Amino acid sequence: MAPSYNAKEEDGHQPGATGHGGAGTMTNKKPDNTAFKQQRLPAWQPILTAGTVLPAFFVIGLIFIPIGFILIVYGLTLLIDYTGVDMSSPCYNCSQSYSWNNTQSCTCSVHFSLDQPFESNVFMYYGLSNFYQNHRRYVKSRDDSQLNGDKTSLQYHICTLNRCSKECEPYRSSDKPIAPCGAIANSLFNDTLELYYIDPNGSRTAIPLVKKGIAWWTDKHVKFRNPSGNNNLTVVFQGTSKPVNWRKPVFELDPLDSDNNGFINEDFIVWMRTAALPTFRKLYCIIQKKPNNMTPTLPRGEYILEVTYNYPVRSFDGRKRMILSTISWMGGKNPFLGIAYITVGSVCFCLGLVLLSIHYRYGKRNNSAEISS
Amino acid sequence: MCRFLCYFFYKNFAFTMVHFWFGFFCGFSAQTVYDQYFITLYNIVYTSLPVLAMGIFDQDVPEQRSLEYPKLYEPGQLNLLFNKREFFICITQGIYTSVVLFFLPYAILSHGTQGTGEPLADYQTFAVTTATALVIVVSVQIALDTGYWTAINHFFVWGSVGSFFTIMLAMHSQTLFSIFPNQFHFVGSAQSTLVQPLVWLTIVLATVICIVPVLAFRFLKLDLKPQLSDTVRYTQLVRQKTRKPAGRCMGGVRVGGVPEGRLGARGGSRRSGYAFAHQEGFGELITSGKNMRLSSLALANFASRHSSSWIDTLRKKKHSNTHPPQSASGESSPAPSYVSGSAPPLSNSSSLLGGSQDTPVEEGTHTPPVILPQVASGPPTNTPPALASAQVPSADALTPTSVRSPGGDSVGGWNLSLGAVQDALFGWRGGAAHTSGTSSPGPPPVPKDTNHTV
Repeated sequence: MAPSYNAKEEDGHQPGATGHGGAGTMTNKKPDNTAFKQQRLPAWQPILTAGTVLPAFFVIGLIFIPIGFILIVYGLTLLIDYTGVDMSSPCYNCSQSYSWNNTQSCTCSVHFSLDQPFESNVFMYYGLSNFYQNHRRYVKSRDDSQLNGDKTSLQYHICTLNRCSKECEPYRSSDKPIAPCGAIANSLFNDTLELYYIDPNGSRTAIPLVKKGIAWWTDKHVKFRNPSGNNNLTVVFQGTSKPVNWRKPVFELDPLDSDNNGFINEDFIVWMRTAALPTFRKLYCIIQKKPNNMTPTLPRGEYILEVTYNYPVRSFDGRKRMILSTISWMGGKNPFLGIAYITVGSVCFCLGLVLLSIHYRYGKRNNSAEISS
Repeated sequence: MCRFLCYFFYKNFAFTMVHFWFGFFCGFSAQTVYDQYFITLYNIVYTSLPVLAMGIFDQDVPEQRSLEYPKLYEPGQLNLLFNKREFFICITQGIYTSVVLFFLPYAILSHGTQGTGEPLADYQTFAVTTATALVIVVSVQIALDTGYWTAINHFFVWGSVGSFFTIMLAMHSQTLFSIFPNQFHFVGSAQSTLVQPLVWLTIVLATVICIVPVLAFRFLKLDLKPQLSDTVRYTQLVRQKTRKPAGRCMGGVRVGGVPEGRLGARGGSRRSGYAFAHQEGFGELITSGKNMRLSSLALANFASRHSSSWIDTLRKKKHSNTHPPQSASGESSPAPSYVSGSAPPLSNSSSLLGGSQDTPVEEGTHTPPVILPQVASGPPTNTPPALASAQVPSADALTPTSVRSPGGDSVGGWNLSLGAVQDALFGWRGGAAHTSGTSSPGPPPVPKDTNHTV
């Protein structure tokens, strides 16, 4: 019985001059009557009720606290600072007498002792502090295509034509193109660390240090490649010069092992992976566990660290350290994470209790379907 | 819209202030914490679509409820939802999030190592960890902010997070590096970082630290000082939950239609329920056409076409019940005085529904007086009773209502106010139509009926 009612008809619509019923001749700007345009889409409307929020807090608390306890009890670490700041330090003389042109290297020995034996694989790191590997100009200063084995950046005439990376300035070329170029490569860490165990009867035993397997797999096999053409790297790098602060050129980093020479030298790769913070550590070597699992890798006792002190840090007030650490699947000793989890878990749990009490005492609970006010 | 704005400021502060904190540790050299491509894509791909969907589709209360409770519009008028204080709170939350997102990876990764011994403190691992934590935290935040989850919201939120991981893994892949070695420095980072349990523990901890305070504040606010929109939404939810079992029963009875159970089971605020009215009054309302705003033209057409026979029928019915026609003539005398204004009378549901059986009968023979002068003269609150007392015939004449007073009592109270509003509106509009001098046959029905009556 409804007359010419049309869902799309405008309100108060004036008919045309002809006066016929309906709105057909006027343009209709009303949106279509679809669920999407009329905001009638089916939806889920969650509401924060006590029944959902409070159990969530308790669950989070109950999960985090045990995780924190698991994390906090793991791992052993030993840290030795061998910068030689104090006069009493064994490396004091070396730290004072540094010069870039010094061909004779200075060595010093640091004694330390282990109270607890270190089981399983032990990892030795060198750590630097106050060294800003995350400075923007420093981070930019590298040529990844050169490190990937691109030969064009090794050729002089191409470099003079400004075809090799400009980011490497001022360490791009001296009289010949520098390989590897850039400030990161130029500041390669070149101290040598050796570890000796002192038997109770006084004899020194060298501890074998494995210097392979310390870089990322993708770095070693994808990102860094030696330029191809000849197995003899001396020939390949002919026409290039070594970085300014290096003592030996890149093809002499490890002449005995061709898999560790040139750009794919693992120490070099580890150094080129810039650190995020001014105090950092980098993996130096791995002390493999003994084949029989009975003896610990590093038994309790006295040790000597022999340092070939090449790297100057006193000029910028930096510090050098050697760190020994055992690793679990979780990765090393990380007390902060354990403490953080325990703290957050207990705070959540307490918050849940507090909210529960507030809810019961002061909360406005409205279970009816009507609004009273 | 206020939540949309607040979230925009929040996510950008959380993203950018990390660089501010990192400045203290990188010699203030403006080194970015994240990969350059992440910075480019963050605001475009990873975080723009969910908040857009929230801004478009968000409904805190369903439409009918917002008509029922005009007080819901008060926060908008009083500028309560986005003022300087709210803005400041959004900014503070963004800064707090940035502090957590920087310092937590800083503290954990500086001594963390992978399972193979390599330290986790290198720049690329730090960047991936912080970026992943950021995207997850802001996605959880938008999930908390979105109160109305349509399918599009789901797709955008989960799709954004998924696209972040996809794009990051693609850009850190070996394929792209082999093509452009100088552009994609991050080869192998994502693949190496995201398999470390320490990294995921960091991300989960960061998420919890950022979100738990927000959750606690909102819960407390909802519990101790709920706003009207919160209460309305809550009662709507309770209502739907109690309605669901009733819906399913009706679905069993009904044959061949859309099963009620499916409709009720959705639980959302789907409002296509006219065909399956839960309350008694809606069916009456639809067939009466009262909720549809008929144009004056339509009304006029209807009146001119059908009114005579229909009114006759109605009058015969009413006459057969009680009254003699003399009262009709007596009471019709005031009618001509109103005719001068001659606006087409409105449907006034109150007159039909609120009144007793007698009033329609009594006034069925009257000519429809004009509503407009009454509205203009008296105060608005008086018009409903005035209208109810005097003018039922107008309503009868022009609206396709039949005698239905028994059915409509349940919604009488609600329709009273609506009818009065429609009266006022329609009376004004009808008057305008008349004064504009169009050829609409609006006015004619009045004298026509008068003529017919007399």
